[in-house]
Amino acid sequence: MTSVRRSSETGLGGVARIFGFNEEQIEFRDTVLEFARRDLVDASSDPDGPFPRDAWNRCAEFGIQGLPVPEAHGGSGAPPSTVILGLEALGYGCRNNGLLFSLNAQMWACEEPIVRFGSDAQRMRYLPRLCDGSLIAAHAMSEPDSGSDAFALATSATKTDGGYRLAGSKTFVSNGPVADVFLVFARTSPAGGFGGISAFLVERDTPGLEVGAPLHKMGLTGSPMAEVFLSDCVVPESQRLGAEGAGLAVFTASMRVERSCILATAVGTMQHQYEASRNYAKARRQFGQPIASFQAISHRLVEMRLRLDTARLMLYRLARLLDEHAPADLEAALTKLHISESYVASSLDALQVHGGYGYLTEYGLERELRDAVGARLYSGTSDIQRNLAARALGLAAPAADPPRNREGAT
Amino acid sequence: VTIDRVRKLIIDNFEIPPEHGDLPDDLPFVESHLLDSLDMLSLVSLVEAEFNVPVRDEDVVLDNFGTVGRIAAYVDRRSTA
Repeated sequence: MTSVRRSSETGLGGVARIFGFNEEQIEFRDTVLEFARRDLVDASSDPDGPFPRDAWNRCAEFGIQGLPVPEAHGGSGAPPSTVILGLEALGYGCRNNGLLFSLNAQMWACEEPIVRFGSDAQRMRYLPRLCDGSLIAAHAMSEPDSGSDAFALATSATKTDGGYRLAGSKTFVSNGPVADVFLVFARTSPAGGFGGISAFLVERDTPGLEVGAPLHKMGLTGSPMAEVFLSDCVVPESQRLGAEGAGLAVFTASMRVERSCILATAVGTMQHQYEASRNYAKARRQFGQPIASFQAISHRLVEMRLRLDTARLMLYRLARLLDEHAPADLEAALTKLHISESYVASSLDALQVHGGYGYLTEYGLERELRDAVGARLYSGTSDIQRNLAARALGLAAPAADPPRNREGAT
Repeated sequence: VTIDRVRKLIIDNFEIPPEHGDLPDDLPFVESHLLDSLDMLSLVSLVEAEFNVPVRDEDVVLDNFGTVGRIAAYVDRRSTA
């Protein structure tokens, strides 16, 4: 039997071409990969280290942070498919998943809302500096008692003469320790439920805003996280993002795009994991033959490849829908769910293929597993993605109980 | 006509408790615990599809989507805009 050689067995391959991405987009993807391999070496070599600010600045100089921002505001205004291809390449070429997560956290949960809901003055003030790396932004929604039940938040924004007085506390604020500006969600109407929430841009040096000590996490160490405390924190009305009561729209619009794009980097990481595992299995010999020849190993690698391919195909399909501004709530939830679960499963498989060596920190596989677990939690847990998909399929749970008692909604 | 279509759209797609079965025009969805935040997003998508009216992100507020009457008024405004 003749074995067939495949040209796309290594690297990011030609799937993007098959999926209709044009040459300019493929070239951009390859340029991002070169950049990551050449200019992010220091960040890649210390993925469990502190937040790599220098690497962040190099990403900004290259144009990563500005990808989804219109040219008029300092970005490149790239369509979602181009951004997704670029982020996949970044995930393939850079081993610092914390840095990648921080970039995603700013782009989707902070820049995107300012682009969509910001006043001209807000866009002019923040977007160019978020793109060029001189500012870092953080999204402050979750609170100690409101996570998946996001709109049950308690932070208040009381109207004052010409502004609002914010009071409350936020937690799980990614980028918090290094952020210059916070997108804070607070309740402007106690009686309005999820309709009484508004969004505010609060600068770090605003009196009454205090950033807590960094929170220590299982993975994504390079992406710092903290609590944020607001006490008598007065902001002018001009710092409200969108209309009063538009918090629901601001949050859901940013989460919709975030859950669509945030795991593009993970697909690149999964490609790297698959290649490293396959190469190891072909080189490592036991019982007189490469371990790849054992069915137990080859099947595991096939499963990794299957997850990688399905994750990538779902991501590319979603990218196309986003380009066309087509409804994609179902596809976004399914894609986030599938990539995050596949990422964890393949991280475990990669470790298992490497055996005892996979358990050693120097191989980086145990760290990638720790990083991957976060993907099942941030931007809506896997269970919330299932809820969203069920809703999109018309399978919503009957309202036997008051809505506040249903998981993932208020 | 619009207001009846909006009412039917909600009754057909959400579980409405019997005490609110007739869904009055001014019954507030939030205060009545009729719809939660995820329902509201589904409702926006349903309104877009039913009336072929794209809903702008900034329009997703209770002033436009808080009651059957407000939704109908919003749809009429957007349709004639």
